Amino acid sequence: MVTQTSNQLSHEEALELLPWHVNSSLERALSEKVARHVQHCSDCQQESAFLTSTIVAVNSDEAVTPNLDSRFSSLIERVREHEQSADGQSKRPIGQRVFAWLGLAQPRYQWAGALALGLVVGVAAILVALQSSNVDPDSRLIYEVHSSPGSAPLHLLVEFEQAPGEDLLAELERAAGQTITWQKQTDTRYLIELPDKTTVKTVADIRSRLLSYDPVVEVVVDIADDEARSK
Amino acid sequence: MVPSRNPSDGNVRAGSDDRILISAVATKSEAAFERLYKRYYQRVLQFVGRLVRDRRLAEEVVDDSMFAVWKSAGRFEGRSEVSTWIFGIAYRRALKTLDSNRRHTALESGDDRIAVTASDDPRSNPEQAVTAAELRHQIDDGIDQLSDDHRAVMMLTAMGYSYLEIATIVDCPANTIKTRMFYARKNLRKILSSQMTLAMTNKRHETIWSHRHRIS
Repeated sequence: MVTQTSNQLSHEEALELLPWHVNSSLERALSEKVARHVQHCSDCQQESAFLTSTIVAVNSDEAVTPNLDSRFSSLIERVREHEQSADGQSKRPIGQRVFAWLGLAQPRYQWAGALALGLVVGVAAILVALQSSNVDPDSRLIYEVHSSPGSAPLHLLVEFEQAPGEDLLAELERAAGQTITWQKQTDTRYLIELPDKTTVKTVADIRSRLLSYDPVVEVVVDIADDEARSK
Repeated sequence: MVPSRNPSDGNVRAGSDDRILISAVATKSEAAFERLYKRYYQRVLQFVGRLVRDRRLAEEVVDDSMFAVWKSAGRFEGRSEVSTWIFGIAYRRALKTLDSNRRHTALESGDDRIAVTASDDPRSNPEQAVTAAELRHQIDDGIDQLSDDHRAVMMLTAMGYSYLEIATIVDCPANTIKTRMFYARKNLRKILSSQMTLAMTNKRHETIWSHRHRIS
């Protein structure tokens, strides 16, 4: 390390910086310090002479000067080709540019590429769907169920073991924590209409609370009936 | 002291000219590119030629580097001098070429080829015993035998770059450059001493040979 604050450099410091003192690239203050050291150090004087010989040798390379005009002409041709192909690339549809980027120039490779891409997207979509269906009901992800205008509202179909009495239905309404309008289908089957924007978590909550009562056999979201009703 | 060829040695005008040129190249000016190319070709070729040690390959590397300059001029951020930036591109391309060449020809590395037989004394001064032309030739050969890292630092120093600029070109800390230069000098001395020993031995053999012939 060079102690730039001190007035004098140690021998090691000067020796380390000597090449850049010799090639005149050191900042002036530092270069002067090296010069002061070299004046009184025979080792550094020898090293300085050696470095000077090296620099002179390197810079006296008798390189054959090439014809720069012709070399540049070749290079500029290459540049123009590059620019043209870059222009062509930018005018091509994005799909073709992607294929070109992937190195799939031939149509048959492009078909194979498209197929592979489709497969990847398909698998990714399935994975996302599976992931969504496995969402923990207690997780913080809450999806709202929206009814679209004109379509039937969301219904839960509740199947009882035997015909429920009024008391049980009232108790279940309290347990569900929602205002429930029971629509009787059969003696043992009732429909509950859920308000719009009921969250998926709320639906799951109501279902689990209803199922905790023995007379309730099954609670399902009434998709088939919705479709039938909408027809 | 060697006359300065240092691009950073107060040569502000060249630096700002370079910046103007590179800005123009970024806007796809072929005229500016031609000026930049002609300004740098010889110096970059000198550097790359020493690294790859093959004239034809070196010319290819320089052209590839300048082509890269054309393509990436728009991304030049001005955090270093244009010269340092161009030499950095050329250095990386030269190393890449060396790597692929070694894979193909299974050449031994520069370090392995250094056969040191003479004294390791850093104070030995072999250059005093030979003429200037011989010395130059021997130094040339010696530099060629250094490792790629050492050769690059030695070349860039000889071309007038500061250790900070060399650090930017080869993309490593400044202290590493100082260390590499230290070992490059040490190894070059070893190589020169070894060459001297060999030359002296050959000379002695020649003398004995001619002496015997005179006797017979």
